[in-house]
Order: sequence, then structure tokens, then C-alpha cells
Amino acid sequence: MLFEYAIVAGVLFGLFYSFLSIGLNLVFGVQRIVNLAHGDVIMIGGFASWELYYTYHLSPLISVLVVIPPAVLAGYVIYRLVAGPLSRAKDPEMLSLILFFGISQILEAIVTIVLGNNQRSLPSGAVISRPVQFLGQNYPGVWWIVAATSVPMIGLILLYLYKTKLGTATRAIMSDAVEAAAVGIDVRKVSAITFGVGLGITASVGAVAPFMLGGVDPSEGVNLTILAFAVIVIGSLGNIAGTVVGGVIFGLALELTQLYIPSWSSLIPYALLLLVLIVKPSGVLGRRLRSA
Amino acid sequence: MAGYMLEVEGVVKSFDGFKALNGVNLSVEKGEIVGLVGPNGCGKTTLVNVVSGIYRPDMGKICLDGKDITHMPTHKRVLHGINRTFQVPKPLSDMTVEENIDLAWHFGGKDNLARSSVLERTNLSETKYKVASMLTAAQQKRLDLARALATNPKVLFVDELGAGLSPSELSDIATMLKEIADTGVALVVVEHLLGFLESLTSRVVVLDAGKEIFEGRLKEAVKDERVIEVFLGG
Repeated sequence: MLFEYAIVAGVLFGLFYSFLSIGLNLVFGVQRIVNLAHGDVIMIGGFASWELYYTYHLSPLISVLVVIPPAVLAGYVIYRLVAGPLSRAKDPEMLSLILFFGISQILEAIVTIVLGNNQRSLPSGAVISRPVQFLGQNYPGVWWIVAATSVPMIGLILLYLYKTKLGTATRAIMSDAVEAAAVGIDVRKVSAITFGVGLGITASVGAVAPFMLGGVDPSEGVNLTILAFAVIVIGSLGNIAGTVVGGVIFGLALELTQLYIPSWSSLIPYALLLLVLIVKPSGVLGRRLRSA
Repeated sequence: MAGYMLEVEGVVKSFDGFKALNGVNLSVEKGEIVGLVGPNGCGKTTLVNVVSGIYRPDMGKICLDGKDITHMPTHKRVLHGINRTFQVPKPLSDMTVEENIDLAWHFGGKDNLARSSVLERTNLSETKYKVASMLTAAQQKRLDLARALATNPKVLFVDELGAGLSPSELSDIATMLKEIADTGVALVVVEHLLGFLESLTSRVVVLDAGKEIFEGRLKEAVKDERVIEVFLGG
């Protein structure tokens, strides 16, 4: 029975982890930008959701959408500011690491100054307070709601990538930026939009993340960035569909370890990450994308 | 100098002090096929990259159809009518041949004639619905050519399209390129295969150390002392 519980919880959390990581993978896939401020964007989405809930009584399920436009805009502007230096750099990936490490620190500091260094939580009653029974087990209803929100949000990203001309241009850049330019695609503009979309979906997951993480606090960014990294490396860097596989594998590994060897639970997902890197460095769904 | 579709004047491009292009000049007329030859590392592909906008020149000027495009980004050059093929083509591997061409047509072309005829002109009609990653190397090179043609170029650089192809494939490519030039496209063909160039070009430009050292018919080029020295390492 407990095993089934861990499997179901693993899948629910896995979908949430996929939602949490997909923006990082999108941004990396397009311009090889390692966005170390990824977790801080989630954190800011969390505080925005908290503020909207307590000040305007807005359901976090609506905040999931409300936080997207300002994040897209912020992403677009940030990209335009850093794209020049990055494109001139000899090693853009390394420079992006340093740049976004700085941005991450600044965001964390600003939020701490403005809101203080306290954890804040959203009551599950903001969405659903009763538990959901499934296969004879009770689960917090909010887990199901967040998992059910993750699926269409990931779907939106996939629709954007595979069903719109802009998304096709994005995939062309992921495949090869030089060839994409030779097709007539404005690589810098499309990359800026994609960076915006990546930040938008990341702020969006932040709006419901407090339900799954127990709250939101200004210093959570680093851990969330590392978690998202583990998920996209397990799935496959630069492969968007791989994020879903990576998220579910990560979720299952975490829940099963918590069940059988709880003291190891903070270690196993990262051991899994190392295992993937050693056995299949391109990720579970990996192709050659990583070497590009 | 009216009449030239493409004019490259005194272009210099250095990488960490190494002058890959050292004041190179190149002019191509409408409908003309010019061969670009030279030993490895002489700057042929760098020139293609500078003209197509991947690199910005340190000095010099590039004009397309009388318009200065020296500082234009790649995608705008495509819209103005310059395109090129790649030595190692990288089509969108999970899309079909037709989808790849549609993408180029949508972003870089919008000329209906170009869209409907490129598959035939590049002999890819039968592979229309094939996923690009399933194509042979020769087919991928033709798809790259089709991708460039779909953007309706006025000037087209063909970078080592013939490398690794069989004699019959080469003669197909030669016919294909002649037909493209006949539609008024100015073609610059970068190639090591001299026989292939002889059948195709009206003149060749020989590059060495980032500068042209000979311009004229290939037959005369092979008799030119400087050219012989460069190729045989005399």
C-alpha cells in the first residue's frame, strides 16, 4: 500500500517538477544560457502569488496565469540587455553562468530587503482543503490540483514550440542558430521572446510552488535551480519533451527513497543525476542536442 | 561598376591577430557562376561567412545590387537576397523536407514561385514527406540548397556542395547549378574539385592567405605560376 502511495505521489510531484524545470530547459536549449536565477524567478512568482492572494483574494490558480505577462516582459528586456555581451563573449555559457549568478544574488537580496527573510505559506484552503482518495489512499487535494495544473501548462509550451511559427523558429534556433539565421529568422529577437516565455512559465510555476514546497522564502532560489538542473539533465538538456520524463523520474526516485530509506532521500536524486551522466550523458531521452 | 549583383571590396577579417581575409575583392554579375578556389585555410569559407553576415568584417565594404549591406545582420541579408549553403548542413532534423523548405519560405522568402519549384529544381520531390534526419548526406546537401533557394536569393554561395559525391551525383549538381544561374541568380561556387568547376564556371577567383591572387578562366589559372606555387606548396 505504501509503495502505491509513493508511486502516485512520485508521479504527482514529478509533473510539478517538470513544470518547475521546463523554463530552464527552454532557455538553455535556445541560446545555451545557463539561467542560475531560475529558482529566484520561481521564488518571485511565489511571493507574487502570496501577495495577490492576501491583498486581492486572488486564487493562486489564477495567479498562475496573471504572473506570466510581466515575467515574459522582464525576460525579454533582460535578454536584450545581456545578449550583446553574451554574443561577443568567447565562452557565452561561462559568461551566462556568471551573469545569472549575479542576477540571482541581486533578486534574492532585493526580495529580502523588501519582504524580510521569513518563509510565507499559502493555505491549501486557497485552492482545495479536502484530501483526495485514490486507490485506497488519501492524498492532499492540492497535490492533485497542482499536478493537474502542470499538465496543461507544459502542454502550452509544447503547443507554442510545435504549432506556432514562432515556436518553429525557436526550434530552428535550438537546432542551429547559424542555419536559422540563414533561413531568415531574426535569431536575437526570437531568442529574446523565448527567454521571456521561459521566464513566464517559470514565474507561473512559482504561483503554485508554495503548496508543494511548504512555503516560499527569499533564499529558496538556489535549491530550486539545482533541482531543476537535475531534472533537465536526467531528461535531456535542450530536449523539452525530455523535461517531463526527467521530472517524473526525479519525483518517483524522491518519493521511493523517502519511503524506504528516508535518511538518504536528499542524496538519491543527485546520485541518479550522476548515474545518468555516467551511463547516458545525453539524458534519458537524449539525442545529440547536448554537444551542440 | 554598375551591373554587378555582388561587390566585395577590400574586406579584412582577423581572428586574434590572424588575418583570415586580407583585403579581398570579389564581384559577381547576375546569372554568372564564379568559382572560388584556394588551398585549405586560404579564407574561402571565412569570405562566405563574412558575406552572409555570420562575421562582421574589420574593414571593407559589401554591396548587394548597389546597396551597402556591410553592417546588416544575417537574417536581413537573407531578406535582401543573399544566401549560402553550408559545408555541413544542419536542417531541422525532426521536420520533413517540405516543412524545412516552408520554414525558409515563410521567414526568408515569401515568393510563391520559389516555394513551388525548389523541390523539383533540387530533385527532392520524391522525398518531400521524409523526415530530414532520414535523408542521405547527398540529399541533405540538396535540401540545404533548396532551403537557400526558397528564400529567393539574388546571390548564392555554394560551399563545397560537391565534396564526397559520386561522379553522377556531381554532374546532376552541375546541371542543377546551371539552371539556377539561368534564372538570374549570381552563383559563387566554393570547391576543391577543379574538373567540376571547369564544366560550370566562366571564371574562377583563386584565394591565398586571405587575398585573391588570380582571376580568370580556370584553364589559365592552372598555368599561372603563383597559383601553381600555392597549390603545390612550392
